Amino acid sequence: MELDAKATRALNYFIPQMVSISKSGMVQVGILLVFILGGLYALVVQIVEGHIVTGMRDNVVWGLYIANFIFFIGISYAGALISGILHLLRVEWRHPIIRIAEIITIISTIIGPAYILLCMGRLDRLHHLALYGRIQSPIIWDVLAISTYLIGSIIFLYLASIRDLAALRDYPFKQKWRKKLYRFLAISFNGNAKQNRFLERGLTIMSAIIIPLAVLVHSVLAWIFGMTLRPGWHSTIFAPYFVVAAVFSGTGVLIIALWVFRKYYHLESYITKIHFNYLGIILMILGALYGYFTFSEYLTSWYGSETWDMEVLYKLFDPHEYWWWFFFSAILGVALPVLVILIPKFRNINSITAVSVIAVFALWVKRYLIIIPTLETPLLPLQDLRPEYIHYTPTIIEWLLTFAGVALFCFLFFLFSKFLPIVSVVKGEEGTNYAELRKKVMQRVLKRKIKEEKRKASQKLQHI
Amino acid sequence: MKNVMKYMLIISLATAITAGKGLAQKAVRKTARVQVEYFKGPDKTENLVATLIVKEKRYVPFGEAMLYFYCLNDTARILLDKIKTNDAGKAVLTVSNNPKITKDPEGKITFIVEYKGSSAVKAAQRKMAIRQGDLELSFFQKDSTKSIEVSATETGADNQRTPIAKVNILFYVQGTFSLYNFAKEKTDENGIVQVAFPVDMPGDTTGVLTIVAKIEENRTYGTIEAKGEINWGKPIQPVKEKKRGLGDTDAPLWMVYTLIVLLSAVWFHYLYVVYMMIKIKLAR
Repeated sequence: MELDAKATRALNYFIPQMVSISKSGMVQVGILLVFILGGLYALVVQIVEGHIVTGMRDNVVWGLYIANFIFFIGISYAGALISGILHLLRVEWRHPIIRIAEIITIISTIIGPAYILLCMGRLDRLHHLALYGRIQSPIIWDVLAISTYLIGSIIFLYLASIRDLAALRDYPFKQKWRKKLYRFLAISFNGNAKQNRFLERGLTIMSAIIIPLAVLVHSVLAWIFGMTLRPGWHSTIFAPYFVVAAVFSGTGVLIIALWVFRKYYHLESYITKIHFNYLGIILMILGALYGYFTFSEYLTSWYGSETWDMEVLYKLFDPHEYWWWFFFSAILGVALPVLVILIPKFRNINSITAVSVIAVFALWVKRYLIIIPTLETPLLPLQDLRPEYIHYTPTIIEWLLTFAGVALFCFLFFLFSKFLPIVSVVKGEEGTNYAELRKKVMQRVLKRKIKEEKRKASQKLQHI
Repeated sequence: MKNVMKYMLIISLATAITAGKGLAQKAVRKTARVQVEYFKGPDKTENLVATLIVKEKRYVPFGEAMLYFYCLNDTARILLDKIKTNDAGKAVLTVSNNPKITKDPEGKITFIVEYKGSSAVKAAQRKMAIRQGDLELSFFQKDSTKSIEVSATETGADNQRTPIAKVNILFYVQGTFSLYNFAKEKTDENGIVQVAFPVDMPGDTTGVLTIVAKIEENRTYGTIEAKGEINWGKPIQPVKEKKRGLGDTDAPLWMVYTLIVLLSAVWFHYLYVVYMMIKIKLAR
């Protein structure tokens, strides 16, 4: 495939980074592997000894694992939505960030559901889900939605990478496996007009379908909670609330990933301040929207004063229980990103990344606060229960598996960057240029107006 | 001179306010009040319900306080019981068959409920004299007219029953959550009152209505209640239980169709994109 000078330069910049690893890189990967091995150890302990090694008991049946599940599915969302929307609108600045966004989607959609498996007591009965699953159960909707979403995301990423895969196929790599792999994945793409047309059509379809699919996936996830009658969960706004929270946290993770890769691979000329500014503004708007949903959710609960809802709210507002976490997740974690990005003086790459870290951590805490206080509030006034059956405290096993998940996320990202350039190298032929289209439409409208004015003027003249 | 006067005035005002506050701080004991109600239920149990309230910003129930219940006879007051108030500030004394209770020659029983006070709350007491009344409720039909009859009597010092004349009787139908008042009549000289039965009222599936007759918060008799059931109301059809799709073995059809349509739409596009990939491969 023929490449222009810019693409050739980019390829020559990325390929050495793909085939080698620096000493500091090896240390970082080593640290990640230590965390992953720690997680594996915890997994073995949990399999051998059972769920008694976790903090989950009869009442609090969901803990860190489910919080992690929602968190990872949430951040997967940003990739799909941001890349889908930016692709559909043919936004020019999308190119350097779109692949990172798509990789976030796929990796987190793989890691997230793994936490469900960790939470399940009887994995040997997993196939019962397919054999005896009930369509009316939101859990089944979730399984169907997430698997469909994962496949869609893989197809989308693959389509968006075909041009780069073709360029890599034509590069004289020393490793034979790379040559074979790229040849297989490039599906004989050489960039001719027909192939470009088919590819653009496929990309447009996938980017259009991935957006409602992503909304649906997170809505279904919210309905798992919202469909129950439990205090703190039974809410009609849970689906849009989850969707907004997901895009908020996902955008935060995308900004952090951009910052890390920019530093790690020295991509200052590809990922510029403008990307951080634009994503920062998206983060700010989403933060404000998320804050609005949060306020609406808690105000309605508090105003209704339903007994069990109030029990949950008292827990959240009690300084001896969850108040400080609630304050961090619902107030500080929202207000800080909005304010820092809102004031132009504070808006720079590092500050935007810093508030993204705060927002992402706040949203993780929020997921924890959605699950635990509600489950610690059983709907029956149970008596004579041991405190550990009502109060949940995560164990070291759960923490190890949580950190392992984060480490695996980073490690898979690292692996991916060794296989494909982290930034799109070859730009495609754009289908519809919306700026041009808008110009044409405006010109047409203007012409019509001028014509009408002329007609009116001639009518007046005739009248005179 | 004017300024001196002004400062003097300000200082005086400040002193007065401070002194006022000081005085207020001294008055630490709160005012208490005892409220007493006499209640005779449909099962003929008689209770004396005392409520202790204490003045904060407004009067609020005062729990965990000991109330002393006395019966007053000619010579002395006899302690009937001492009962602690609950969270609602209430303490209930069962009056029925209490041998310590005595009547005066007029047939009145005089109760005294006393709160002896504490370091924080002042003492309070309330005296109440009642006559023991009773209501009998019956239903009768004359031609096509259906009626309710209530007979009100009181028991004197010699345990003889005499009619209660000219007392207000309120008639209610028992609803799911509360009582619906449908009539209010005074008794005649024989202590009897009759009202038309509310035949247009919806009853249960067989038309059964629960009628409640009451003498309510009367100064002489307290509250007396009588209850009766009869199937003279309008029968209502039992509410048909709606089929709940989610609880069934099979999912509701709309859900199945929605799922099929959604999944088909998505997977059709996936397959189309795969077809595009094949076309890319063929168009080399």
